[in-house]
Amino acid sequence: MLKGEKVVLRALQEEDFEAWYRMNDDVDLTLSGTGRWVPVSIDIARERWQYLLHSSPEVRVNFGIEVADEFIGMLSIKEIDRHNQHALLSIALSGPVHIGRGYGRDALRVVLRWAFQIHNLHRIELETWATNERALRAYRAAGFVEEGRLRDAVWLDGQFVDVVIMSAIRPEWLQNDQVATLKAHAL
Amino acid sequence: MLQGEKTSLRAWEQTDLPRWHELSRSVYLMQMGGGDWYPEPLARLEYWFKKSLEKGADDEFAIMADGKLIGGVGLHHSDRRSGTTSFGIGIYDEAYVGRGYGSDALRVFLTWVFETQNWRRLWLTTWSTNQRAYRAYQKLGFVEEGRCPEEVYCDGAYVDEVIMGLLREEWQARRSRGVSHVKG
Repeated sequence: MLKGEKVVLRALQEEDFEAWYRMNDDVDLTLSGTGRWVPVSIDIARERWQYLLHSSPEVRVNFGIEVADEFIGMLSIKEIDRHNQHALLSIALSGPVHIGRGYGRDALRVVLRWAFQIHNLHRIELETWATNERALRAYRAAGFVEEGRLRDAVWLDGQFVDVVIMSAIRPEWLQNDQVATLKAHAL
Repeated sequence: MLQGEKTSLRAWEQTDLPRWHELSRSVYLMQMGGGDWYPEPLARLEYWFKKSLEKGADDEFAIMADGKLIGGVGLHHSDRRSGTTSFGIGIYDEAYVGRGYGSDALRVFLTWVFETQNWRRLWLTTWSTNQRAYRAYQKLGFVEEGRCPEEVYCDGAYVDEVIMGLLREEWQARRSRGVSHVKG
């Protein structure tokens, strides 16, 4: 498992299902992450959960985000492309009590250290909505750089919103002292 | 079951998996074994264990000490025609690392490999950064046979893979001289 200053990243566990299900049933949270929310019956959710538990690490690696032994969210490195040493990142935190406390940016910093130093990836890409200021700040703080906008690319809660594409690349990450100092104590 | 002075070697059981899962949280020790680390859900370990039972794997041991699972050792790349095989060993409980438990388990394992199982050549690979392992293998009689430069990406750098090997005759000769077999 990987230790940050505030969070621990570890494998998903069967027992995380309840918390994960509640997280996905929260309309506001889900909209901020995926742009749409539809009702999902618990059996379908369980199937999805089993898919996540058994996903092949060649392609997709899922981390449970833990604070004080409690599952508070999930971070995934997915669509791992070994030829280009490239992958996509997604992160979701459960419940308003866990949001705005620096857990997300701590988890992001730790996972970049893992992705670049241990897993030998070169580029991590993510997308978010232009209206999600808090997410944008967290990604920037963790070392992600905005590199493009897809205009009006999602319909979000009554309006069209731009999609912001961001990435972190290894050479830049290695130069960034603030992040590199994490190397010493991230594990 | 094989009995050493500090360790015993026995088959893996389904009931070992939660403990194994706990041990596999050690990023550093897992990297020393495989170069990489990623989070593995217990559910996946259970899936793979079932698969290995179906295949009838009979060359993998759990390493036990003080009644606890502390690591594993097993054969890979086995070639019966030539009587040659490689192995991998890992001690994954931090409290038992660097204290002779791995060497103790290997001494027992070597007897099983060469005498009980009739292999005549045993080889292994490790990383050039794993000096502790290198010295332990040397003490047991393994000889460095080659290096593959920058073979593996491990903890932010490309490191050499070191190949080491031991022939049964060499092992027997050392044993008859009383070297390294009974006591480290």
